[in-house]
Amino acid sequence: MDTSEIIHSIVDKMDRHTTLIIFGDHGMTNNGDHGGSSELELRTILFAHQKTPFPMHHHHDTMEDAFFDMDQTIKILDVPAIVS
Amino acid sequence: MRDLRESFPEGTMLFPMTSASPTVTSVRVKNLVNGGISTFFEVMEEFMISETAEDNILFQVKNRPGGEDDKVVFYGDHMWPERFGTLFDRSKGYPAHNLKDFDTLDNGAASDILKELDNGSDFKLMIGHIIGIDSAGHTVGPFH
Repeated sequence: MDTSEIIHSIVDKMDRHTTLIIFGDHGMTNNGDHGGSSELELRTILFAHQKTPFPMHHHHDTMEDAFFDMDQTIKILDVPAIVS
Repeated sequence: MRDLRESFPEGTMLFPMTSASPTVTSVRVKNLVNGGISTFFEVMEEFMISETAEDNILFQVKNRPGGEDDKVVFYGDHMWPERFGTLFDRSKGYPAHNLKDFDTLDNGAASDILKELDNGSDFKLMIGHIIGIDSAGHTVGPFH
């Protein structure tokens, strides 16, 4: 299964009390490597989905808008707080 | 993910995120559960997987008031059970060393995760760590 199929099969089986959070722990260079501190290696996304509306919702019209709206960039160190 | 956004935008959020240096998976995993940053010395240590001693979110799920019966489960990259095994109620780790194998870990973890959902989602926190995209990046590049 590719990653997109895995995500869809999880969403299909999720109940209404579960939130799915998907994120990358790092990015990769144009060679597919990581380990350093370049922008490409640091850049990733966090995606969240649940079957009931989120209480606060600021949404972008497209994935691209969200990705390039750097005002909203969140830090990977905040993930434990987000999960809790 | 794009179609989930379109079909139910109220329940979908997407943010760009900045990782932290070093962008090495074992260090990222550790910082993900303890919310901290690693010192240089720790980074050296991190290449040898060991059980973590610091406060972390896995521990706190069960140790907050009323959380005694909350279950934390994990499926995916073997470094999690090796490092946090005693904090998981159920877990299964898959070896992640073969960069040319994009599927074994991902498919195994996905099937474990779907089984958990089939069994009634009794977990408080389920973590899955799949690495197919990382391996593909290393082996055939990011634009494959």
